[in-house]
Amino acid sequence: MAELQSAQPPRGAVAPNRLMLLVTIVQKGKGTFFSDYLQTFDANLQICVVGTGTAKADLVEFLGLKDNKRSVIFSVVREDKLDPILAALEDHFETVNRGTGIAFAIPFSSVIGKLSYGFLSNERRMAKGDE
Amino acid sequence: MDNMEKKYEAIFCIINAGFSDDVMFAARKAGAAGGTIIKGRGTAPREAEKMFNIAIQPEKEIVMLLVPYEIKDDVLREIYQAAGLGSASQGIAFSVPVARAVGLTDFFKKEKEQHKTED
Repeated sequence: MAELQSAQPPRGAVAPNRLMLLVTIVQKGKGTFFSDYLQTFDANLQICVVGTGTAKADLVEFLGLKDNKRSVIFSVVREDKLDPILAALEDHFETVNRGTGIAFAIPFSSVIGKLSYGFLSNERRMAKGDE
Repeated sequence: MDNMEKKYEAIFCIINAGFSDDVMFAARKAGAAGGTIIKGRGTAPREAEKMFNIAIQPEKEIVMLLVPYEIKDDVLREIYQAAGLGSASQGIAFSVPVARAVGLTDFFKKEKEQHKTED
């Protein structure tokens, strides 16, 4: 029992890298492109859903060009990767054709399970077992 | 969070399907620019439904808004008044801090330019 207790991580233990929920909103049709791109930054868990934009586009609407469907990508990324990811995304938003979008990151407060954390942060050395 | 900019907040508002216009109208009144709506399905225990005297309509919409930190409370208040639990949309709104945001829309660009001219 004593051994078991000593194997437990201390209460309030902090993981080496915190996790963030990255929300990327892009035009519909660009979801796969951005999702694949985010995967190169070790984002193992990504959920892509279809959304509808509500920003005012009076003139565009008047001209019949309104395309308000959006792809919303929820990805879990490591905090240390956040700056390069956001810099790369900002660059893509400006340069990719119809690639305009918005991205923001929300910090996780906690994650339970070593394996879960390993998967979400792409820490391969944690893949052996859940402790 | 150490590197939090605290410049923006993400507001999530969960409402009955078909009421997203009410939320956007209220949010715009408080200065929000635009939002994104995603569809979802809600669940709630029957006991809770009875206790709070609300019926959970399973079809939901989630309105996500990115707003400057300064107007977050105003936006939440307007949303609550227009689409709170007491209204037909039965909305629940909450905000979470945003660490960083990029790819800002015209609204934020204008704000940025305004800051530059002020400096």
